[in-house]
Amino acid sequence: MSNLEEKFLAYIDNELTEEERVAFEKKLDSNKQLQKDLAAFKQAQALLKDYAKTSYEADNSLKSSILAEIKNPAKSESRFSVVSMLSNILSVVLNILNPKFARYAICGIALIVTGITTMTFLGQEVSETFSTVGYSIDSTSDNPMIASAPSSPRNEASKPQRQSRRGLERRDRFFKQKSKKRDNVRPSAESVAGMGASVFAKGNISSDKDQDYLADSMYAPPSLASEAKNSTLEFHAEEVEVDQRINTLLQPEIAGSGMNSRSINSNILALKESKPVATDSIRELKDFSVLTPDANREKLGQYSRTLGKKAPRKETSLPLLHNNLVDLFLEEREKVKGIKFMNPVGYWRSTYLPGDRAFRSLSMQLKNQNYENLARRIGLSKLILDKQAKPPKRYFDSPDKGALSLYLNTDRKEVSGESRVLLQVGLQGATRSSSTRPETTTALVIDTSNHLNRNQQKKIIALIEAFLAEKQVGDRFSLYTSEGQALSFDKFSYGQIAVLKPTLFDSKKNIGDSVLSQASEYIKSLEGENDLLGSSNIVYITSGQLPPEAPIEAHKSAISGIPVSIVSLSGPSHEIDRFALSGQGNRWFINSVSDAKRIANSELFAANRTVARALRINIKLKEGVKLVKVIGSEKLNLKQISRVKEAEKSIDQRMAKDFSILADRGEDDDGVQLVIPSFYAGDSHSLLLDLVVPGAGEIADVEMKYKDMVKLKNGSIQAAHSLASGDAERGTMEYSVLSNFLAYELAKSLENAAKMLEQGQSQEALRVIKERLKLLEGLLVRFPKLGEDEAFNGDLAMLREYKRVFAGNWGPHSDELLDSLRLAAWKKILSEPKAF
Amino acid sequence: MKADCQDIENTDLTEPSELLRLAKNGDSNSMAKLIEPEIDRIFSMIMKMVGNKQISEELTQEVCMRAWKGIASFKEEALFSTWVTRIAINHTKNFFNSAHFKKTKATGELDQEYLDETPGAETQIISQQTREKVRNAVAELPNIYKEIIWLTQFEAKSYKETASILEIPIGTVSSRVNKALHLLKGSLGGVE
Repeated sequence: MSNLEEKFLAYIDNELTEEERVAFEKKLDSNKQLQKDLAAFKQAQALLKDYAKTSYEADNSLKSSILAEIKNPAKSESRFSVVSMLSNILSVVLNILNPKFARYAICGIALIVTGITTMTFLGQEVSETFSTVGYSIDSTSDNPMIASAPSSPRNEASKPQRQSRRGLERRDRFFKQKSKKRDNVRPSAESVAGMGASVFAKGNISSDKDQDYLADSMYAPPSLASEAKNSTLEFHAEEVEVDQRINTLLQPEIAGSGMNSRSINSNILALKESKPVATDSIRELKDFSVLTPDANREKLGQYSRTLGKKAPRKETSLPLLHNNLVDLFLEEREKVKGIKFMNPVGYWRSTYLPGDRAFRSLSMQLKNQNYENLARRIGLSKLILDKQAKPPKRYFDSPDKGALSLYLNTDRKEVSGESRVLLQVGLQGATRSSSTRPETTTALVIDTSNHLNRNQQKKIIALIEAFLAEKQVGDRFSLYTSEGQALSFDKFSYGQIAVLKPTLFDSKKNIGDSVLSQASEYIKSLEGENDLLGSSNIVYITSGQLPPEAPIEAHKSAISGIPVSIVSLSGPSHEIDRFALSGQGNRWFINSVSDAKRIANSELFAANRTVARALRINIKLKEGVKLVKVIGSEKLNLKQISRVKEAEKSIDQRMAKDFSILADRGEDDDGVQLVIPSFYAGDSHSLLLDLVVPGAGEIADVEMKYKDMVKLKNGSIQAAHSLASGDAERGTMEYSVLSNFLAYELAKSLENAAKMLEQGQSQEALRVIKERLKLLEGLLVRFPKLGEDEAFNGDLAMLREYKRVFAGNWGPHSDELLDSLRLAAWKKILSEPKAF
Repeated sequence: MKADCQDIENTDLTEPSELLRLAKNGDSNSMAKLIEPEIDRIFSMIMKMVGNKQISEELTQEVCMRAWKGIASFKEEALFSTWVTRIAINHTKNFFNSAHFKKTKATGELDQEYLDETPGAETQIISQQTREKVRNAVAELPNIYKEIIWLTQFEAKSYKETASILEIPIGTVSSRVNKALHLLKGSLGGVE
């Protein structure tokens, strides 16, 4: 390679230094040949890119041939060929001797052949088959390409495959001969029809041979159909009838045309997939006997299109590789007709609820749950259940500037004609530094209504010291005792806590009825003009036994804008959970004095996690685009809308007052609207809209307004999404949208299973879990790319564990299971609470 | 082994790793389930390289059978699909080196392109003539560049995936792509 060529490649590769690049570009400006080369290089690149878009689909016959060969390799062919040869020889000999006797002899041979092949296909071990035809699986070889590497399709190593293909052709010829003889060889028909019935009995058509048997059953006398009806084959009896009607019409043409019976049969069977056509337009089927196979396929396509169905892509001879759930799921995702659409104007419930108290409470409760007893009970060494649940991988970059970024994606790259599409509105919050936090007003309230032992007293002192250590300029910390005395931390200095200690835990006064409200009022009196919403709070420290009024007091404080967190000096309990939920605060357990620092830090930085407030997302669908639903959400009624708008307006006004962020809310937009009160740092969320689009083109405009807490100003992002025309396969982003959809669906199933379990219907719950598992497993086989997401594999493992638990005897652990299912459902949609 | 077969049909064990285990033990049903989603992809890939439907079908069938034959030796260091792609690439490369290819090429058989028999089965962005020209130009490349172009350009595989399939460093993929394009610019640079 010349030096210039090397430079050229380095230039393309961006590997030149700045100096070299400038020098090369100068040379490029003056050297016409180099310019031509560069243009040619780019043109070649573009051509290859265009060529990459060309896609080809394998014929169904190829697929079925490969699958049949794997499932049932050349054993049958060799038998076919041998038997076929024998029968031909016998036929010639017998015809010479006695033509009348020959008919019955051939008929007998046909029966033997069909018997052998039925046995073959009803259950065989592959190794046995391989050994029969001389295959040897080279298990010592690591690399099959090297181990067997043939240099050409015509060489020896590839012979077995080639033989098998030829075997299929031979078999076709065999059936063709058989088909031609049918008119003359009536006696065999009943037996053959019996074979056809045995295929029906299997419930699916899993090989070419099945297809042939089905075809042969058409020649059975009508009495067989009624026999089938009387047996367990009711469903198939109807098919036999249809087949016979088809046969009556087709028989003369088939006999005269000399066509390959398999091709005719495959057309008929494909058509039978939509039975109304086969039944109603039966007369038109006559066309198939006189058309070429290609014309037949075209004809089938026309029928299918008339019915609004896709052209038959799969022959019924393909083995059923996945269960019906996958088919149903995919069918639903393709469906564009017969759907009820929603008016795409109004408010929908937000699916982003990171501050959901129940979720946070449950998450904390099950954080250290290891399900040991449950696992032991069902004979497993361990169970992790909900711990495997997490939202799917989302490919959203953090915003460069500001608090949020917005991404629009769909589950399809391209569409051709009217299509069902999932539109994803992806939100990503900025990851803010946690080194600074807003000024905070905090009151520590110590419940001394119960006796506190020395150990508990030590923990409380450690907590006070930890808060003191976290105190920054501008913070207003105070200590509120049961005596109703507020002590400002400003007055504390080294030694004063020690002085305070003897009196701090003396009081036996009941705290419940007023101290919390007094503390709340006290905090309000201390709050500054610039205090960030949510930066004032009460931390209630208790030995674990709460006065009955305490949750009510906590609730009152929370709705007045001051959440109440709780620190328990003993273990978890429902009372503690209830209190935390009522007070809309966090719940902590202090097991040792060393926990104090972590609790103080997390509590104070919780408010700092919010990067955006009052998010208003407005999605306007383009003309012709119809809304099926907003996944995981529902449309709000008037009362709910007024509450949402009230909350939005109150944040808007508070932001204007506290941070001079211009108030801009109050007006309704048209389109699908969602309001999210606050968005946390580092969080991502996916909103999904199920749509029917008329074809390629623009599908939606999305606008998001928010109060940017990073830049302290109003933020706004607009984006639009359109779909190209074509059939390109899904890429990573499209699979990601599908994964998010599956996550919502899984969450729904887990929640349903929990409901069933709560109602004592554990078998129903098991069914829900099994169905979901089966669907996900089927989808993974169909779309292996889904398995690249760790979360998807986690879902499968989790569902298998739940299935195992439900199938076992979990005894007294139904509450654990119930909580676990609910938490897993939440965790599929939301990131785990970090500030808890 | 038979019990395994029954397992797969009667229970929910359809996880790829489970299918793989069963296939390695010789369960043909499991192998069929594993290979079925790959057939279209392999066929399309080979078709793009070879351009002749009949030969592509034969090669696809052989690749699938080769995968079945060698599944026991598959070490699961890569995805099953990657492994099959590797087989397809090598097998097609062998075909290009074969006397059969040279003969069919000489007789012009290879130029009988795939005819669209089912509506929507094929997406054609560029004309047949251009497609042939692209294929021929790539087929003339030395093997190491041919496979790089197939994977990175025809199959739009990332450099990382290509590196994994060909078991070479990513940097080598990048330099080979540019070198291959450099070689192709002569034959494809003037195509409109």
